[in-house]
Parts: sequence; C-alpha cells; structure tokens
Amino acid sequence: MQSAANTTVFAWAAVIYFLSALIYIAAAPGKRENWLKTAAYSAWAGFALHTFALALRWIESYRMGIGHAPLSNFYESIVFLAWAGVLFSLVMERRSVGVPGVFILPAASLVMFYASFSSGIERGIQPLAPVLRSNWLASHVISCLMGYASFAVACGLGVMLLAGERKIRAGGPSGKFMPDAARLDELIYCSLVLGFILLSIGIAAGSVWAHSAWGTYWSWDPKETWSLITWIVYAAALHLRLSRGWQGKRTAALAILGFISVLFTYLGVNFLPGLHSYLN
Amino acid sequence: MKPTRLFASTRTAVGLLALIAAASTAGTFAPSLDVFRSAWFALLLILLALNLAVCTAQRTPALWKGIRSSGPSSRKEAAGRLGLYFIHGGVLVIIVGALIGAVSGFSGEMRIAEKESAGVFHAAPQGAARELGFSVRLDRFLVEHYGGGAPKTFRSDITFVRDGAVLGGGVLLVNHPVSFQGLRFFQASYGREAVAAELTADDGRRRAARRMAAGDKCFLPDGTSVRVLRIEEDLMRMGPAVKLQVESKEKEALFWVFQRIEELEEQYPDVSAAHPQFNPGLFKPWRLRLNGVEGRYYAGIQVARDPGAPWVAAGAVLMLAGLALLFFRIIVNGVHSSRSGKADFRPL
Repeated sequence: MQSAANTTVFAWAAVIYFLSALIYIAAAPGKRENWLKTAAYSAWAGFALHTFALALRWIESYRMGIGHAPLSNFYESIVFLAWAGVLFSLVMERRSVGVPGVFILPAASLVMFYASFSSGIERGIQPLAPVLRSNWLASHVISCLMGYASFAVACGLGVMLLAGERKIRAGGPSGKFMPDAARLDELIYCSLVLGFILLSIGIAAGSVWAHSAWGTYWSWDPKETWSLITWIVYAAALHLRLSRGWQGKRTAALAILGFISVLFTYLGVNFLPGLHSYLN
Repeated sequence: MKPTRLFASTRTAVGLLALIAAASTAGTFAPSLDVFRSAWFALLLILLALNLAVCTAQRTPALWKGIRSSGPSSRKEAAGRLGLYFIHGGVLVIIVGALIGAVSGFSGEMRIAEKESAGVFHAAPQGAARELGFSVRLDRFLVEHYGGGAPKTFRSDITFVRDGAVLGGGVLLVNHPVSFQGLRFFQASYGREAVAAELTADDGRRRAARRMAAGDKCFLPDGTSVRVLRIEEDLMRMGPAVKLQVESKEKEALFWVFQRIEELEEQYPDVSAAHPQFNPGLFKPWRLRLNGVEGRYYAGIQVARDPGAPWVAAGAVLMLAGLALLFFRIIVNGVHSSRSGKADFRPL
C-alpha cells in the first residue's frame, strides 16, 4: 500500500471536523449564537478540505494511469458518506442553526478518524475491476450513498427528538438544550423524503447498470434485496405519516428502524455471499 | 367499509409492504427457501399491485378535478397529486413487468472456447441444455490488463451462425451486451483451459514424442499404453502438468508429470521420492517428460430474454418523474408540521 497525499488531507479534514464537533457540543446547551457560528464556519472549512481531498484522490488516480472517480472501495465509500452527511448538515443549518451540526459533526469526525487511522482499511487507490468500469458507477454509488447519509441524518435527528421528549417528561432542563420537537419533526421528514428519492434513483441506476453488466436488472442478490427492504421500510414510514398522521415520536422511531435496515444494506450484507462484494 | 375501500386502505398497503419485507429478509438469510421464485411471493406482489391499482383508480377523478381547476395554489396542489399518481402508477407498472419477466423470461450461461461454437445454454450450472436456434462462434477473445497485472476488461468477438450461414455478429465487452433475435448476450466471465500437451517418453534407448489432448491414448514402442487424464496450464502454482495413466500387461501407474520438474526438484529435493505420484520416472524403464501445454481462452457468456424489462424501465421512469414532482412540490411549499396530529401534506 502506498500512502498518497489525498489520505493525509482526509485525515486533516477529520481533525477539523473534530474541532468543529467540540465547539458545537460546547455551544449547544446554552444555544450560544456566536459559538454556533464559529462551529459552522469550522465545519465549512473541514468540508472544503474534504472536497479538495476527494478531487485530489480523483486526480491522483489519473496520475497512476487507473483513473476513476473515488467511489470504488470501502475507504472511498465511507469517506464519501461522511462528506454527504456534512453537506446535509451545512444545508440544514440554514433552516435550523446548531441543531443538525451538534450530532452530525461528531459522527462525521468519528467516521473520518476511523477511515484514516483504522489498520483494517485499505486506503490505496486500486484499479477498477472490469465490471465496475461503467458510466453508471458514479450515478449509482453517489445516489445510494447520499441516500444513506440522508437516512443517517434522519436517524440522528430521531434519536434527538426521542431523547428530548424523555427529558421533557422527566421535567429536566430540556428546553435550553433540545430544539423544538416540531422543528425536529420537520427536518426528519425532509431527510426521509430526500433519502427516499435518492435511494430510488440509486436503485434505478443500479438496475440499468445490472441490465448491461449481469444480464438482468434484478437478481435478488443480498444487497439488492436489502436495498428493497430498506426502500419498503421508508415507503411504509412515509405512508403512515402522510395518510395516518404519524408524526413526532412515531416518525422518529421509524427513522431509527429504517436506518438499522440501511446499516445492514451497507455493511451487514457483506457477510452474505453475493454479487456486490466489492467492499471487501 | 366497502370491500374495495378496505382493500385500498393504507393499512392494507402497509401490511402488504411489511409482509414483502419480512419475506425478503427470510429470503436473504435462508436461500434454500427460494422465496423469490416461489408462488406465494408472487402472490404478495400481485396483491400489492391490485392494491395500487385500486388506490390509483380511486384517485383519478380528484386528480382531473385538480388539473382542470385553475389558480396557482390548486395547480401546485395538482403537481403534488400528479407526483403521487406517477409514483404509484410507476410501481404498479414495475410489478407488472417483473411478473411478465418471471413468467416468460429466461436466462442462462454458455461457455465457448476460442474458435469454437455453441448452440445451447444452461439455465443453471447443472441444468438441462436449451437450444438457441442458432449457434454462437467465438472468433477471438482478448483480455486487457492494467500495468499492475489486474484484468482491466475482456472482450469476445462473436458471430451468429445458422446452417453454415452467418446471420450477424458483434463485439461483446463487459458492460456492453449484444442483442440478437430478441436475446441479449453478456460477457460474464472468462478463463483458460488446456487443450493439448506435448509429451515425450524415453527409456534410454528409444524415444517417442506425441501431441495429445485430454482423453487421448497412445502406445509406446514396447506396447505400453499412455492415456492423458487431465491437462493443467498451472497446477497448484507449479506450472504446466499432465495427469497420466500408464499401463502395460504387468503393471499400471497413475501420476502427474510437471513441465518444470527440474526446478521443482531443486526447490523440494525429495519431491519424487516422497510423492511417487509426482515422479515422472515412476513407470520404469520409461521416463516421461512434458515439453509444453497448449491452452486457450474460453468466454463465459450469459444469455437472457426478458419481455418484462421494457415495462420495468417505463415504470421506473414514471416513478422517478413522480418523485421529482413531489420533490418540486416540497421545495415550493415547504413542510409544516401541524399540531392537529395530521400532517399538512395529505395525498388526497
């Protein structure tokens, strides 16, 4: 394995995310506006560095003569997930200052530290296997991973909402720390819809690709099947919300349940034999 | 509640979705159940399709009303409704396409060696052969490698032939299938197979040389027979080797002959003594020698026909268009939670 410049830049992005996460955690209880702004600025700085690292890795792969978008192995996929998560956090901060960042940035920095320093991860740029050399790789992987990131955000907000409700019932000083439940509910719903649309696009792109690579648009491979299960869970959650009025705690619980399915689709399925064995 | 209303209710839809999800989970953990090709799984899909059809039909009059009535707010409303209509219609068309494919589609694999033809394919590895109605000839096979040695891509130049007449042809690459007479051909895998071995036998006085294929048998000058059982281009990373059955009136021996036997003996000094099956001089007085193995590529080609695929594609386009409309509606209107317990955004 060679150590390339891009992995160093990713590690620096992890450090900046960590600093931003610390500021968020320090600022959130008192809802200190200036501190929250500083936290968001440092998150933006980390995000800019992270984006630069992605571009650098792409360029480096071309210098190696095996040029491809950095979306082909486990390292590249978790680094992209963290990138998408931070992107959603920064977008949502525009509507609800301090709320998404306080848990997304700690999560993103953990993921980035794990990606950068875990001994079990291959960080080198590898040539693409023949079947991955397709124009569908980017659209399939980007939309699926951005969908996963959106669902992760929904799950985190759901945990926040449930924790907040408990605190309110216990009569604790929740009002200061926890954001408004209605606002959280809104953000969860937005993340669920966005994730559902992205997952649908990702599955559709994957099907078109499979139709030209494997001879069939759907082969009930474990990853395909689990992506369908995940899609069904979220479809059911959206139906329960839209026509049966499930909101608040119930939507939060469904967001958490759905994310368990996402985790299994992303990671758990690798322990089952199948066609999607590129992450190992 | 009227039966159609009950059947079209969200409760029924969510219940069916839950059942399909549970069945799929079972299918991934217990592949032996063969859930995805079972009749009851198809029944669940049919029930979901019926539920969707009834829901969609019930929604139509209100949708028309929404589209006809003018005014900016009702038009925005109509965009959202049309989105939901498209999503549900799209899923319905996808299920119909999947069922058409399950009933009248098929797929299988064929393995063709370079310069050879095949006219049949196998639906399963040990399944019965099915006729294509014409044959596929593999004229040329190429593998392109990266600098590091990993395969980059591979291609098969194929020709379709019937009764000696060329019907057509094409270049099959990974991710680039070729269509012919309603069938689609895909480059699935490749490998190498050994075709023939150059062998010599020597007993100190006489010498015989032969080019033999697997299964071939020849006789040495003293009447001893040599049969080639297997030819390998690379046996256990020790290079080319053949498995021989050598037989005379008195005795019989079964052993492997490696082309690089001298190298191997240097590496593992006692190999011939410790493993008589690797001793090329096992059948005295003859000593056998492998001078070379001739190999060739074969292509693993997948054949498929799926009349449901265009339906599934159309359904997916419809569904994605619907999702785009829904997204547009949310961007324009935003989402507002209400305290009444009902979400603001109700489909109908």
